[in-house]
Amino acid sequence: MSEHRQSGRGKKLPLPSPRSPLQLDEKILAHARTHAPRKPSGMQHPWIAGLATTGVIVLALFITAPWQPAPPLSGVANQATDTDAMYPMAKRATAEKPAPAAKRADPPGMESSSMEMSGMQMYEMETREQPSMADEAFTQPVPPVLGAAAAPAIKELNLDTTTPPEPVFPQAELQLEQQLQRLGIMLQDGDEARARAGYQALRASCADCTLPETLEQALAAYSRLDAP
Amino acid sequence: MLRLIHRLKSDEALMLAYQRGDSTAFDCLYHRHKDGLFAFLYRSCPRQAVVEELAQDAWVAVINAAARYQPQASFRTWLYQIARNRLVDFWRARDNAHQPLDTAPEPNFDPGADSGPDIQQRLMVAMGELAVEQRTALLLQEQGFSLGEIAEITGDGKETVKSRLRYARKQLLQQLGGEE
Repeated sequence: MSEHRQSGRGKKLPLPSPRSPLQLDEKILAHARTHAPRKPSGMQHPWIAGLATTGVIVLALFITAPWQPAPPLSGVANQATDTDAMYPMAKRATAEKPAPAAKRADPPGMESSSMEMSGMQMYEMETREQPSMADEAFTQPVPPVLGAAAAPAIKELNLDTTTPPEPVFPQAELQLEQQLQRLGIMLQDGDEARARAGYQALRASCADCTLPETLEQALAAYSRLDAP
Repeated sequence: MLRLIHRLKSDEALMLAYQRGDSTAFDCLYHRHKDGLFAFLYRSCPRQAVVEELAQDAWVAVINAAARYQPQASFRTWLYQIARNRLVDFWRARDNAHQPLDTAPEPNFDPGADSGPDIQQRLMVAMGELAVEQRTALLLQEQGFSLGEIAEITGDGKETVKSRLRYARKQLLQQLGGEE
């Protein structure tokens, strides 16, 4: 590129060709040395590259090292599924309950963080912070519907007590008692057929309940239970 | 050793090396082009003080622009373009100041040429009679530039440069009485 070509005529003109004076050369070269473009900063400080590499390695180790083993999300999901299967009422209670606990936990302006949490995490947080009524009910031993107090009556009625009575929740016990009372009133009013049919339907719907065969036996057992 | 390696490099590679902070690359580049540029400037304006100033300006401009240099065109073309612009600015300043410049070479200045001083002096006087554009084109051609490169340096079209060169040679021939 810097090759000198001959002039168009193939012959150079006899022009003067003075040389650049030494003092000018020195002046220009000195200026060039003092005003030379700076080298890239990375070259001037090679330790920066080492520092950056070390930082990256430390960060990678911090991320990958199992110092704080977080439970896998799938495990949480399985656990939740098991809980749901065991305590369906608890799930319903938690679902129906408004979420004041989550709102209380988040300061104002932090709604986004709670919104970002998954439903399972919120459920876990709620159950950890404030156990619901249903949870408390599950953690405490539940007395059976026809427990120790009903034992003499059952014995007297020759009821089958070989199979252990299934634990029924107080709410269910209350409903059963109310229905029996309703059927008893119906029987007293003379509507015997309807009362018996209703009792059989009740027995069929509550297969787990240890209800006697006839409505009279059940009423007798409950009247003894109610008696002081 | 480094200087020897630099001598094998192209102008553009040297300029890029200088851009990275290697001042020895610029030394090599400067020594490669300093005399040619100085001669071009002297032939355009045969006054040593003026030529030194113009040469210094041109090289300082190269140094200052080194950080932004991109090897898109030939370094030599770029260098002479800068020098030619400085020359044009100088002529313009002279014209504005209404100061005529004697185109004959200074008697105490060593032209450093093989030909006799008489022929050189006559040729320089004849060159001084040419239009600035014609003279510049002719001097650039004497420096070894092609038509395309002269067109790039002066910012004119190739045909224009060709025409200027033809007229410049014809006029020189007439003034020198067919001695060329």
